Amino acid sequence: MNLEQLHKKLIGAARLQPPDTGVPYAFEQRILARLRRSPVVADPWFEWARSLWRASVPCIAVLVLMAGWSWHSGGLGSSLSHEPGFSAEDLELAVLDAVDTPEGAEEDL
Amino acid sequence: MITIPSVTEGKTDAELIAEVLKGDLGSFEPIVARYSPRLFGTARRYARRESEVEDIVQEIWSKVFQKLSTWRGDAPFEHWLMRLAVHTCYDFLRQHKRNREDTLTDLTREEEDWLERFAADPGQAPEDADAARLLVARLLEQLSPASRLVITLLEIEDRSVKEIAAITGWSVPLVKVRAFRARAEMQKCLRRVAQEKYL
Repeated sequence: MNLEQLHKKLIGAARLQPPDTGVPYAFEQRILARLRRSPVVADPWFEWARSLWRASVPCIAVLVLMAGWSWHSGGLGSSLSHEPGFSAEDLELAVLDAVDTPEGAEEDL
Repeated sequence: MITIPSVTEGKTDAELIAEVLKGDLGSFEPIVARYSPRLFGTARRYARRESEVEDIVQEIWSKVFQKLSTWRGDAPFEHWLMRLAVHTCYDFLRQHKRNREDTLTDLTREEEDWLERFAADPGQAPEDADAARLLVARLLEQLSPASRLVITLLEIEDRSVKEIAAITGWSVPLVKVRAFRARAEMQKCLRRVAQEKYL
């Protein structure tokens, strides 16, 4: 027996005879009655995902604002560093001043 | 507050859904009436007992009602509905896979006659015979849920791999792999029938 041919023949039979699409009597009314009886229970995961999705809009807005503010103040800082008498070395010296021990100070102790 | 408007005929799906989402449950009835025949046709492909078919369609409509607000309206409602229907049918198959009976050994007289006619001359076995329809239903019942779903969508409903991927949520390569496995499973079942009857 040719199984491949049998397979095609049976699939052809299933295609030729689609299932009945008949709907039981008063089915719509039964569905509505069932829905009225059981109140809609929201899916907690869906609600959680929807809240996150909604929260993303203000988050992005805050991100854009902060990025703009940071860029703007960064621009001010960089212009400050180009001023005469203010360099990166001056900043480093000022920051490390507290931890730097003068040469020979340890010997004095 | 639930209200039932008297005029719902002629409204589009989107209009009816908008009304349902506003709390008008009555607008859901024309949607149920419009699409239930299609859903019953789909459910009858996966369940044989009429009580199971009705349970599946009720489950689909419950899910539709629960998730109605997730329909965004950028694709036809029917596509969204059919995706939900196929998922529900697949869940049904997975829940009932342990209840599958080995029905390949007890073929009816008509089914055996049809197979004998096919064995003698494949052209003589008519495709429109009830026996062929029952035989293919028996064979499909032997398949795993994924294989049955793929064979039904790909070969019986003649959908494309891309369409099946969109309906099931599987990737295109996964659909192809499952289609390959499903055909192999089907061949195995056919071989069993052939061996039991003709060897």
